[in-house]
Amino acid sequence: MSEPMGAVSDVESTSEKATSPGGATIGAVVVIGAALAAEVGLLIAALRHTASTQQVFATHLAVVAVMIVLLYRRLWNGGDGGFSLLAVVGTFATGPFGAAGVLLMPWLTRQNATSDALLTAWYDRIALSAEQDSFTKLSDRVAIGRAANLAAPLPIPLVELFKSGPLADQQSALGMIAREFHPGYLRVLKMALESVEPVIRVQAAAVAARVRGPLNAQIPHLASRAADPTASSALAMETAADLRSAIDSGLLEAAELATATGVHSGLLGRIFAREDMRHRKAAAGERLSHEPASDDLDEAYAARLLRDGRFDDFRAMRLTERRPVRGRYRHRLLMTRPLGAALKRQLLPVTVRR
Amino acid sequence: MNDRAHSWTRTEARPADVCIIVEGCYPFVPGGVSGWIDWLIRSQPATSFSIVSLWPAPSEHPPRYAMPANAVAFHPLYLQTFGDPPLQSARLPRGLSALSNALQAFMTQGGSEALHALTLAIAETERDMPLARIFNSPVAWELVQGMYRGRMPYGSFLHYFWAWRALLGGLFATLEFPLPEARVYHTISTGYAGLLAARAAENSGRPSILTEHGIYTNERRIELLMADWVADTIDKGHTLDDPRLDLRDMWIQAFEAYARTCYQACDQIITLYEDNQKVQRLLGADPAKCRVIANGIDVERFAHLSAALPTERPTMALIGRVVPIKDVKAYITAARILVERMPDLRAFILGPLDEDPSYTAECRQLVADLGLVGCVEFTGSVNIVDYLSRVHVVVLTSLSESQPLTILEAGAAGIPFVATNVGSCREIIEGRSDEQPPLGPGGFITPVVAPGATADAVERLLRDHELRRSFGETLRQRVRATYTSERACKAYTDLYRDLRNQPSRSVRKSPTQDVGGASMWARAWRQGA
Repeated sequence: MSEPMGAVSDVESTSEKATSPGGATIGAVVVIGAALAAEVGLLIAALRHTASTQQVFATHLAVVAVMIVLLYRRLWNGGDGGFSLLAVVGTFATGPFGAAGVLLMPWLTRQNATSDALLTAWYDRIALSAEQDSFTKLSDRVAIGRAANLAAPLPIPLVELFKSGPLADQQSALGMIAREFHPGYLRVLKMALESVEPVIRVQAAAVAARVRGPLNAQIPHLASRAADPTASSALAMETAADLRSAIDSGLLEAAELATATGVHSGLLGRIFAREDMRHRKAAAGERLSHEPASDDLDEAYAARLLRDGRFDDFRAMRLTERRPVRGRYRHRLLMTRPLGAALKRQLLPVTVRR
Repeated sequence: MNDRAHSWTRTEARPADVCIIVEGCYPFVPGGVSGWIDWLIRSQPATSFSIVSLWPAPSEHPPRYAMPANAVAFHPLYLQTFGDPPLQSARLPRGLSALSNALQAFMTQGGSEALHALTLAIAETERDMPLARIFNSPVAWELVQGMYRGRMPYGSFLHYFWAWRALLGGLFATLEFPLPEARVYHTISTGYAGLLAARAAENSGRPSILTEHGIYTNERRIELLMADWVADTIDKGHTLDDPRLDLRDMWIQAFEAYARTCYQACDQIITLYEDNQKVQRLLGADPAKCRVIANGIDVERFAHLSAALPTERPTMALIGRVVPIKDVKAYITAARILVERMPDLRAFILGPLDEDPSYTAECRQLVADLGLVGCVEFTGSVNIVDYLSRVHVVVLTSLSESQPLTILEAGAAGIPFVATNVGSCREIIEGRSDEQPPLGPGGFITPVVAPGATADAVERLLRDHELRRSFGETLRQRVRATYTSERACKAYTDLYRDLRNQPSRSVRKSPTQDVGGASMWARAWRQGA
């Protein structure tokens, strides 16, 4: 209940401000009214020459001085002095005209203020505290329906879905793959093409035929992504994985297949060369610039080391872990201290030597 | 023949023995199901047929088949032209809310009971105003708003409105169509054609049967799930089990409801091969009604052909139209893989090239890019009998098939086959589960979009003469035993005879019999009977 109450008080204070903008209290209005009367009297006296010019100015300054004192008291008491200050300046500068103008201001301001009824209706709507009209209900339902359903369960991993999920969900997933194709989906598309369910195989084949064009069109984009020298190793690895999926899909035309294979090979070469450098620096105890970790990258790098027969480097890689230290990575041996020290002596020369 | 696009009747006096109900093919589209219907009608010369051909709108193309002599009537039914000229104002008819509820129930669940309830609700509403006038009147506006609030008030009304128009236009056109009299109704798919057959069974008490070549509902589901023209009005993210109904779901639900209604109403549900029965059962078909009648060919046409000699240039062939669904590019890629292992390979592509010229051009370009100009030969439309004696292995790389006749033709000629695992390819090549005695394989089955696997299988057959001869002979035996056109023809002759002589079921009394197209037809039926 606290929130609506707070909302109500906000609306009420807004409503009050609508009648008394800038601290136009009754007291202030009375003071300005008195000043106005005095100023009018002075003006008449000046026009009829019943008072000298010095007397008129002295009285005018006295009126303004009284107003300043009252303004000071108001501010001292924590009140809103905006309205009174305007009255002081107006009266000082233009005498009765300024005072009259300031007195008219609350009335002028009130014309532009939002009415209480409208504000109350708005409050009711945003606080859901009153019956909504049918148009508002319909509009809200449309808006809520189009927004993501936060109560919905998390998406099921597609690989799991195509292993053992319901047929209808597999069909929906294939529809989604067709409509929002990404090379990352090729793995599950391949699974679907080999499904034991004829229904799924047929739909997967239709999807494969449909995505063939977009997939071929993506190869130049993947090639330009692969050529970006500023991309992190993890990001470059993602690009390499997308290229690999496209190559393995069997959906590429001859020209695109040749391009993808060449780009993939070159990209992996650059990624691994960079990883070599990183591991050498790490093994030498140097701090490295921060890069997001990537299991895929580590796995691919490990596989490459094994394939190239770099077993010492492989052991060095497996016996260390990357730890972020003040925004940089440091490799740490995953061994007890005596064993780690021995290994470090054994391993360091191997990695640093390269 | 152009005038045959309009309704015509050869003999007014007697009702046809069989009313064929077909959607989107015969007689305006050549090949495939149209060819099968033409064969079916011609293979039953003692049976008279009337044909109801369903189309979205009048076809601009001339018929591709001359009407057989035993076809006594032809009636086009246009699904998207339903409704009288728009009305500016109209008084709400009685029973509008009941009609809305009945439509909701029918389009969500379907079934014979829901169809009957809908028929009653339509009849009640038609007491005040015919359905055709309602459809383009302010009454329809009330109806669509009510159904929108009930079904997907969170979705886009604009998109719902147009989907509603398209779906209900077809539904109303089907329900109001004055169906011709017949002793048996035979629909060649579910969908609107199946719905019409269900209505015929419901209103006339005469038997209806269904022969499904592919599974219509599944084909529509695939199309709808992948369609860009259906707007996603709800953001479901990547969740697949969001219970909120969107337009795609609404379309799919409607087609599933129509299929359920058709399956319930039909006396027999026939497929070309066993695998499809599984999908039909999933959609509510009663297993007791399901049976298989495989397509057949004239085996004698191929019986005299001699097998290609082992000493001849190794040759494979793809028999089919050059269209994306046949995945001819996978075949060409397989040829490229094989040429590296067997440099003198020859690869025929025997089939028409004019159906999808841009795809044909892409295939030709691929052949050039892969350096296969001397290997791959596009023949265009030919008499395959002239080529089969030079072919060692026939290949099919299709993405989708029902029961491809090319396997039967190759089998009749004793040529082994390599086909993708689609439709009934496995069943024909490896034998049905109830085959007695089991004959063994007549070739190899490969995954779809797997040119490497296709190349491996073809290479195995090309290099092993004995295996090739043995597989070819097995396939020949299987085709002769199971897939002859005589066998298929006799199955339908027997089926039509049994159903024709079957007494009519009692028909539930319905007020529609006095109002609208359905009632007009029912009255005509009663008079005719």
